[in-house]
Amino acid sequence: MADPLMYLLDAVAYAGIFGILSISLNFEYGYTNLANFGKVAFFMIGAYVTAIMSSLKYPFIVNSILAILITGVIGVLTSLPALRLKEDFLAITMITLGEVMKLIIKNEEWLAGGVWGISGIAPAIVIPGLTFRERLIIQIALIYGILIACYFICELIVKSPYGRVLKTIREDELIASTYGKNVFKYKVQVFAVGSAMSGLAGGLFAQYIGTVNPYMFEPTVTFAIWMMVILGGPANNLGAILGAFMVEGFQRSSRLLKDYLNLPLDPVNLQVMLTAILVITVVFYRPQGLLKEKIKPYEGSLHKIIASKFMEVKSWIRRS
Amino acid sequence: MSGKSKAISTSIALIAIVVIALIAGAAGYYTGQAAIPEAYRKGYDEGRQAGLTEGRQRALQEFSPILPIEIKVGCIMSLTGLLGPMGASIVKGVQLAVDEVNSRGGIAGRRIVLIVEDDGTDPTKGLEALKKLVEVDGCQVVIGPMASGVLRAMGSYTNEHKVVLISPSATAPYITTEFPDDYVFRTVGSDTLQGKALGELLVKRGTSKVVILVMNNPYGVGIMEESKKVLGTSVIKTIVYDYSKLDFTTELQMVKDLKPDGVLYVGYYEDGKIMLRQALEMGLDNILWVCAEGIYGDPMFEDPAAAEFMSRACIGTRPVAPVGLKSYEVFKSKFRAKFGEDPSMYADTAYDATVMAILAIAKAGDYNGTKIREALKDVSQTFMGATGYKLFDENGDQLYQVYEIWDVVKKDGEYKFEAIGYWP
Repeated sequence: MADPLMYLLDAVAYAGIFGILSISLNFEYGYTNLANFGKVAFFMIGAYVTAIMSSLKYPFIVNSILAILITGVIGVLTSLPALRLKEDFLAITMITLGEVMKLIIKNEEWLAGGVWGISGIAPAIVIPGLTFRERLIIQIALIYGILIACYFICELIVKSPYGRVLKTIREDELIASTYGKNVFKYKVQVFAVGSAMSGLAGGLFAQYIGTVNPYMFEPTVTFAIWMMVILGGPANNLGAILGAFMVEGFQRSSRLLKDYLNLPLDPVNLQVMLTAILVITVVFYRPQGLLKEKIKPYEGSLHKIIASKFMEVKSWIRRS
Repeated sequence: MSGKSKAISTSIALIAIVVIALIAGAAGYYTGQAAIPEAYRKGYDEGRQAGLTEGRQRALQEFSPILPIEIKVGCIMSLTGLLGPMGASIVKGVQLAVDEVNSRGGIAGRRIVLIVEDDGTDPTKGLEALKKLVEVDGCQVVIGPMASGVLRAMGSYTNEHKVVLISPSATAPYITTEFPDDYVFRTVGSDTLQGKALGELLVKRGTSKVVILVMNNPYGVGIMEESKKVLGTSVIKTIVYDYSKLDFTTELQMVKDLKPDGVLYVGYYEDGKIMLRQALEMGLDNILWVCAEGIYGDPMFEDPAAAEFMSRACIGTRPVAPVGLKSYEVFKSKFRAKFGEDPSMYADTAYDATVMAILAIAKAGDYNGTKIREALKDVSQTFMGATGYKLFDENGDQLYQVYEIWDVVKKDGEYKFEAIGYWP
């Protein structure tokens, strides 16, 4: 029966998964200026690792840890040759990587079901006897728990001295190496973390959808993630999440609105056009994205803020 | 920049986005009159504007209290993406059926409302479209999707939510057998049958050394697996190629070196044109090429070399309505009268799928997926559609499908497809 709230919650869950992806891209591109156009490859590997492990009846926690490890290692391995390239060549190499990975999965049928894909992936948390809505809310809790964890990990990294090195590399690699920093090593590390995070998002995606096949991982996924980061604001993690919500919301709302607005233009094409106009406008008039990077140094480290909040709560409890 | 001016610039950016969206929408409204596929949303608007007065609604409610005032039929087709070029015409087939029923008063006075969604030939998008149809619109019957890969991603969702899916064109064998007693049906023969037809055609032509050359998607690999069962040991090699490539000399060289006397080929138009042109260049036209319906159609003749090769070496099969079927002729003339063009491949099966779905709702007398599914099985026992009998087996697969065996002939420099036989 009709239940529009479910559709909304579904959109929220999708936005959460893509939020993790856009945070990971933001970490690579926004903070370190690594143009990774192969995001979909790591997303796909994460999804497939989870799918294969799930069909062998392993629990989600094992699957996701394995997905993180494998995508991280593949991230390092691909970055070793790829990072020797300059920006635009790196982008092209990474697009190719995505296609190559997809071809391997399509053609090696013993590995992951070839063109048929894998279906029947168990959800991460199975509690029998729940309604669809309760199951969806559990999924959302899981996805947002991981999203928030990823957000804080990224925030802590970029606010640390390590993060300042990354920003220096972004602005000028020469300066970073003048200060004796091994630029290449930093880049490889960033790549590994970013890839591992996308692998985790892939795992979440696989257990949420319940089926994977190679046709889900076209290069358009990469471009969607890029759109999220560009719209939301590179080098701002909240912006990246906002971008994920905007792109997802844009797609969903155009699907819904076309039933009520009588546009004589094919709504599918209109959606594509409007998205393009949106991106061009933002790039022209607000290249820093909707939320800008905070240039000001961080006043008071995170633990100080948490400690003060903690004290507040404590005094509140005592009073009452 | 201070906090205040930042807030101002952010709001300016947001306002600019909204304004541009509005302008684009308005511009589209005044310029795009011809651009819209007419089938899109038309049924939906008609249903909304039907002007059911309150009194009439009450009367309907008393007459048959269970059925809703508007009966929604969802439709998910690939209007963009790889199968995009085929989608619009298939939607027309669905539209024709809905309009026909509505012009005769709908089901018990209720209008059928058609809601069309695009899946972009992408499983993720397709699943999202299905969720929209089920959760927002409350559809219990959905026609589509076109591609087997997209349909598979929807399988478990459909069964959980008890929504009937009828695909007009997804032919991969596994789709209906994966969940035997499920809500997925199709009004086209499974490739289990076409694989058999192709295999038997090769055997009949006396080939003993066959190379199977198929594209790496469910369509190609599905036919490969089924035809292998028929051909058995006469298959000396199977080659699965990537259809997005622009050069197939490697694959063709392999075929040449193996010296087969028959090739089973499955491809689409774009890769097919290149494949067959290069096959002509490499002199492979002395072998018998047996092809599936993916390369059946006039777009193949855009490349003269491919057309020449087809006339020299190719025969093939395609699913058709039984020969001389009167109901197909009627469908064809209705389609031509409404849209001014001939129905494309699978517009006929989509029409049948829609008519069956509507009949099933009428028979069930209730807008409920489980009941519609049971009614659909009954309807299929006696249904005679534009493409013949649609008797379903226990998996929701059509039991019977006729395949035409076609050949390409060259007459006065013009190439043409001709039927040279039928299977079975």
